[in-house]
Amino acid sequence: MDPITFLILMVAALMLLMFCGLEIAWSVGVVATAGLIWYTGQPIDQLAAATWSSLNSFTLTAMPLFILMGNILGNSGVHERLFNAIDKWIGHMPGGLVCSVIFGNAIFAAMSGSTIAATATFGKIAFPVMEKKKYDPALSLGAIASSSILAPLIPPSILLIIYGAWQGVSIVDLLAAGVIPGLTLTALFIITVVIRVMINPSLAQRQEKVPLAERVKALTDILPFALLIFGVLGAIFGGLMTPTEAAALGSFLAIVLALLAGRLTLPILKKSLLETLSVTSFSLFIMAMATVMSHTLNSAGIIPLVKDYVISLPIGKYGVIIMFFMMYIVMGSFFDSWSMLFLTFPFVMPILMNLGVNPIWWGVIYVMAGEQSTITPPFGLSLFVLRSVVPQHTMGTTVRGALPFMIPIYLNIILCMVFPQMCLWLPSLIK
Amino acid sequence: MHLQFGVGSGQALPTLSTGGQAQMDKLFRVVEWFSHYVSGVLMAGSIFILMLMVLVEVVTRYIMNQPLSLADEYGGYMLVAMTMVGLAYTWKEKGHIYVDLVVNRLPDSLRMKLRLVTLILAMILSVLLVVASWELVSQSFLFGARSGSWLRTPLAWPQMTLILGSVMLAAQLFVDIVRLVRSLTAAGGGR
Repeated sequence: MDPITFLILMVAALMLLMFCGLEIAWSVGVVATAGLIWYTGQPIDQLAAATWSSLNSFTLTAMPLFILMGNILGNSGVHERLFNAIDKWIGHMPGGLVCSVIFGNAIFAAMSGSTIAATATFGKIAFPVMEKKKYDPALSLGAIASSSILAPLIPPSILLIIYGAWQGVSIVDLLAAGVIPGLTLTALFIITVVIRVMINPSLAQRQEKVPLAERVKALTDILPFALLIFGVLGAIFGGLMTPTEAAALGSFLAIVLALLAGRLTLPILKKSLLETLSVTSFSLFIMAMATVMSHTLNSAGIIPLVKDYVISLPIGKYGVIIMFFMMYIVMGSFFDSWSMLFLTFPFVMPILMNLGVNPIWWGVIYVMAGEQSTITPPFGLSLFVLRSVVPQHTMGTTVRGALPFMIPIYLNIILCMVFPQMCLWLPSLIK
Repeated sequence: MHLQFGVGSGQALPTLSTGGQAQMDKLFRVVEWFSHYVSGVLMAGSIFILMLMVLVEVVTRYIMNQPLSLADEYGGYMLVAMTMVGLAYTWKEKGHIYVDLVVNRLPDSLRMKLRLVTLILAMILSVLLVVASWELVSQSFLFGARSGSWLRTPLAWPQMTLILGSVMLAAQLFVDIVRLVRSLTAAGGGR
């Protein structure tokens, strides 16, 4: 059988298994192992060898540690206080609570880095308040779903850590690269809300300005946590600690702070640890199986073949990137951004490297390209999460509300394409 | 993280209980005990230990000026263990993601039969993982493979977590498969 037929067969089998509902990691693993044994004729122990070598990485241990930090802060109720404090400061702007949600997501992003956690949290704590104050549900839910994209952009970003550790790109550089696009996107989101509310003030009522004394008190409430964030990020960007070390310090300090605040009980610690274990295990197993797949396809000579073909297309570097974009928009209907990374990067990375695309810049672009798919139907992970947290509204309402927020997201992507320095300037500074 | 239909733990078993079935249920409880405490709680605890280990490393480097260089190596081993040994727990808690777009639209009986097929495929991969890990560990023993660090750890030992994880996963899958077959037969092979 020639390699092209084999590739088509592999992709078809993979699609079939995934659509039959077999868990993504197992779908990839079954197809990759079948190809490994039957087509490349390699011994079965390659399955274990690839799993071992992809998981045995100290750099990647930053991932569970950062997830733990976010879980502890989340489960001990820091986010409610955070949201209340932000709302006291900016709730009187046009758009009120909606702006607070966006701003809250930006700060939440600096503690957690997980889209799902962000969506669930704001769906739970912000939406009931918005509903009580008669905010337009589409605008409210749309803002909650779309601003969760900030979580994997603003450091620490779990998605960028996985990408960097898996593909051998500097994690410190990647985390730094996300800062400016994260801030510009926050600004663009807020501008979108303000413009929409200015056009139609009935969407969101303006709130009373809170007295200064109350605002200052709210600030002191969250100050320790703000210091935690700056400490952790400062240690990484200042070159004092590796991301893994900073993540360990971050989760340790999160435990200490939650203890001091009287919010940490043994069940909460256990729950946070178990949740961390689940996310680590499910996602890294997909990564391990994708590594096996990548090994199989490389041994069969398919990846070089596809690479040469795509590079020979007369569409240039940006044409290829736009082509990948289209692919992610289609795939995003079925997969989340983590799975898409694992499924496509064995092909995408060799092509982009060959075309001279900067892997740091691409990481940030991918985060936005991949994450926008979490708010597009029919799959959109954030849509599902919101649906389970706010069951009284249909997914259609959220989608309708999220669509206008696609404009700032795509605008930010275009900005990063036109001005790559937005992503590359900070990493160049910390060198 | 995901919506999945209930064929796993907590499914009501058929009332007809023979001696063999009671034995089987006892076995299931043992498997699920392992999935919960070894795959779940123990591995979750190891994340806490990982955190402490990395912190100790920082302290020895900055304060005592003498890095231990333990965390670099053992952190990687622990990540392998968490991921692989944690699989059974994550499976039991339905934490692995899958595409539900198509299966959610199928009628119940067809969906359950399809689930049986996918569960068996998952089981096959898990058994292959057991075999592959066994081979890997035997080779590491045979060639005396050691880590490149000053510790010169024999790699076969940390690699055993691959075997442990895939065996526990296969056991958990076996429980799920038998449970599903039971509810399929109880429903009279589908309506």
